[in-house]
Amino acid sequence: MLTQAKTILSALTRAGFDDARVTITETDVNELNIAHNHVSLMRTTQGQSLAVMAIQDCRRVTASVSSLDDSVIEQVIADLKRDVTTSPQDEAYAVAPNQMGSFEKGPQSVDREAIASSAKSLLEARAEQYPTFQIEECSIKHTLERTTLVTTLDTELTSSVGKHEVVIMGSSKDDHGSSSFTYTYGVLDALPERLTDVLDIDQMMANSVQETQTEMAGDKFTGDVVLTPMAVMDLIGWLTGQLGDGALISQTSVYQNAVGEVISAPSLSIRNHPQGAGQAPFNSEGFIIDPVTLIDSGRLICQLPSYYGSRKLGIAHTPVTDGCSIDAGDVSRADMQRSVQRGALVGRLSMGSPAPNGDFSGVIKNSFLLENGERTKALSETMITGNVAQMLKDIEAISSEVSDFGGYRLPWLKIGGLRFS
Amino acid sequence: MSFGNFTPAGEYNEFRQHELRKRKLAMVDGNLMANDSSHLNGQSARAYQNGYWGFASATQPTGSDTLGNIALANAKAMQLFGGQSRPLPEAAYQGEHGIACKPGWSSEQLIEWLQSVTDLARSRYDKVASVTAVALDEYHDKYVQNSLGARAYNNISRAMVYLLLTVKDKNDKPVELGHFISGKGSFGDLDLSMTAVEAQLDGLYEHLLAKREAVHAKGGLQRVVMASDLAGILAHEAMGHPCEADLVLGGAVTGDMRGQRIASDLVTMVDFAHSYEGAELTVPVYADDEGTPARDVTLIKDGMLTDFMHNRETAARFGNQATGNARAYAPDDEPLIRMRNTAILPGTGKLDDMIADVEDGYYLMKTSNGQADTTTEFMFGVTLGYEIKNGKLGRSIKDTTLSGSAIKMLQSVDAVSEDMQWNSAGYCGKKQPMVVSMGGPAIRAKAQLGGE
Repeated sequence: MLTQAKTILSALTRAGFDDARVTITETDVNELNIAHNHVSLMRTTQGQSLAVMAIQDCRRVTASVSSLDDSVIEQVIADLKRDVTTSPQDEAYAVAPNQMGSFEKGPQSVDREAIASSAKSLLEARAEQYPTFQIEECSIKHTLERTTLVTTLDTELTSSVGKHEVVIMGSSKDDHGSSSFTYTYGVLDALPERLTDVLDIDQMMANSVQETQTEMAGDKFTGDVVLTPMAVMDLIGWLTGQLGDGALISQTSVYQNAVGEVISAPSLSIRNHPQGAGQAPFNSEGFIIDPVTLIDSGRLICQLPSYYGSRKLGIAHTPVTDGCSIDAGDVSRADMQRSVQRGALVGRLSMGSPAPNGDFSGVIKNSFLLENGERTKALSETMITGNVAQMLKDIEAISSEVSDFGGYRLPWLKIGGLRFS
Repeated sequence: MSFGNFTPAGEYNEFRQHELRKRKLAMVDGNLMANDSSHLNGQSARAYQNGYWGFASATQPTGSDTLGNIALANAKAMQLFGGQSRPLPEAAYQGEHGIACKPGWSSEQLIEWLQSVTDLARSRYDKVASVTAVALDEYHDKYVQNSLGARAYNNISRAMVYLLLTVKDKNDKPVELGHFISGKGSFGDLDLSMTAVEAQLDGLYEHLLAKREAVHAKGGLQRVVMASDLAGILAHEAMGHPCEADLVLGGAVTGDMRGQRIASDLVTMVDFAHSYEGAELTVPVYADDEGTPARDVTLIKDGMLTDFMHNRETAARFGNQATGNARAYAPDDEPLIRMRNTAILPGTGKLDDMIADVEDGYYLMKTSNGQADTTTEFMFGVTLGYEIKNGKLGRSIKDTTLSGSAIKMLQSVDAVSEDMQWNSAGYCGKKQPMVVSMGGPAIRAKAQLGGE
């Protein structure tokens, strides 16, 4: 792959491009699917792809194809030459310089018996412990992705990343009715003997079977939420969006000039998590990912522009990939719930994307009313309204327990001041 | 790419050759953020044996024989879990259906157009803080063959532009509003003339200025008039997903409600296969990716829940006909039950009258994403809406979320307009993305609105 990538890079140079990046990826996937509480399908897929970014006279163009045949590559280069001349000039376009490394991470071969054994353990646990929980869809997958990335500025990176990915979605159904669907997912280096021991799967099913009888929260009120990891991810998604290219380049980010400022409660520290299972050692731009602190005790340490974005705006470049880790707090999840006078334990937020200023309203799903420190009824048709930027400031407690989803390590968050309706 | 040699394997098998071409060009304030094209080719095979499916795919030309054998081996490998064969429906389609696209636009034309739209918005609207313009197109060519004799070619082609204007409110916080122009075929099939775009941007900007001064909606159960742009997503999210047979098997409450009244008798809802009133729709599916002849599925008829959408396997389990809803997005995806062109059918009301009859409520005009649930408790984001006070439109409202039990909401429908609006923008997400279209008239009902 490395030889072929360099050959293509040379061809791009010969074709007149000033700079270029070539990425070749080969992917092997073995995946077992469960549908409606039964094993249903086994997939084996083999794929390869070529992705090219090329720059000529400060003009940039990118393309990807699923074939590495010579004739296809020739056509790709010809198309790039045709299209690059139409791109507007921008001196911020550039390729990654001087990144060198070879990385191997995670399980490098598939163990189909282990996948089958995991599926069996999940189905048995469901049948024995949570028979009213219906696994609508589950996939247990091993992926081996081999990547080579080279640039004309002496970047030469190779990686072989193996990982297991597990996704489970389902709902409960009994004589009382059906619950909302619920889900969890994550990435693992190794499949455990009991799949329900990881990714909060047991907790997800245990909660779901209690959600077939639901009530509305009642009157409108202002109260607390205790967000579990799937809901915490929604907050993180909005935050990273505000710190990325789109919001920064359009000058509409609420954190446009906020590096160094306190943007959240002092208890909050967020870091990227390159050491997590399945996390790529370098990103698609060709930068090696090092550990980075995004928010340190409430203070914004860096923004997250791409290399292009950082050059465009003249701000620091901080290479990251998806995923992050929130530092554990000092309150147990049980104590966190006990501290709520009125509010909800929120399993999932069902909502549109928050507005760019952070305003949002969303339906809380897989959620329970918290009253006087007690978890009472499961909720339906209940919405919360607030502002995500304000929520970050209003974090009152962070749990000492942290759930590991591979790329994400997330605690529970207690946040005050949400409007319930 | 064309039909290939087909080799039977197992109790049933299919072979799909799939080409997917996509482009994305994105400009933010004149900066070209993306100028990307992708071209995926792939072959896949799926085999059915003793109640289990095996699937195999490759980006290299591998052939029906090799991939079919791998798929069959995968199906056989799962026999350790037991296994029970169930005969699958045998309908098989033979035919070829392409879309006659007008010539597409080159990247040069698209970049010029994106820049022109940016310049237009910058020069015409003095309070605009940012302009984002995105152009996307995608073309799917699928050749499907199966052991029942199906030999079907289908093409899905869609072009779409997304325009997003941002202004700052009195607190210097961003307020934005987006607009899609999309349709079947290529960019050449869309009306992207500056005259047409200017008229649409003028309307968008006018709404955006109103949204700068927006107030929070009142939270709770509200009487709402949903513009026809919203009826489609209502159909798709609220009752479309809960009528997918795989979700029904997964525990959706609709499973026990066929034949029951679940909506006002003003509501009829259909998932159309390829055509509506004689005209081909944006997502024309004549045969699905299992080679099943696609037919319309009436989900709700005059308020009564009537039918579900099926693939071959769920049809066998329910003892129904397969409906042609099994669709795969990418060359290495297996077919899943997906909607095609889902709509609530028009009634006899008039939008102005529907608003005039509301003493205190909201007129909701634009939506963002949505989500369905097994309980039929749906949601979708609302990015543009106005108060209705004594039959008149009032202040704009901030972004909010509409939600509630679809059944309760559809039972509260008391007016359906006579017009009909189709759109196809964005993707439906269900393990895989999928191009779908949705449509409907304006609808008046009661539902939960997020807010103060």
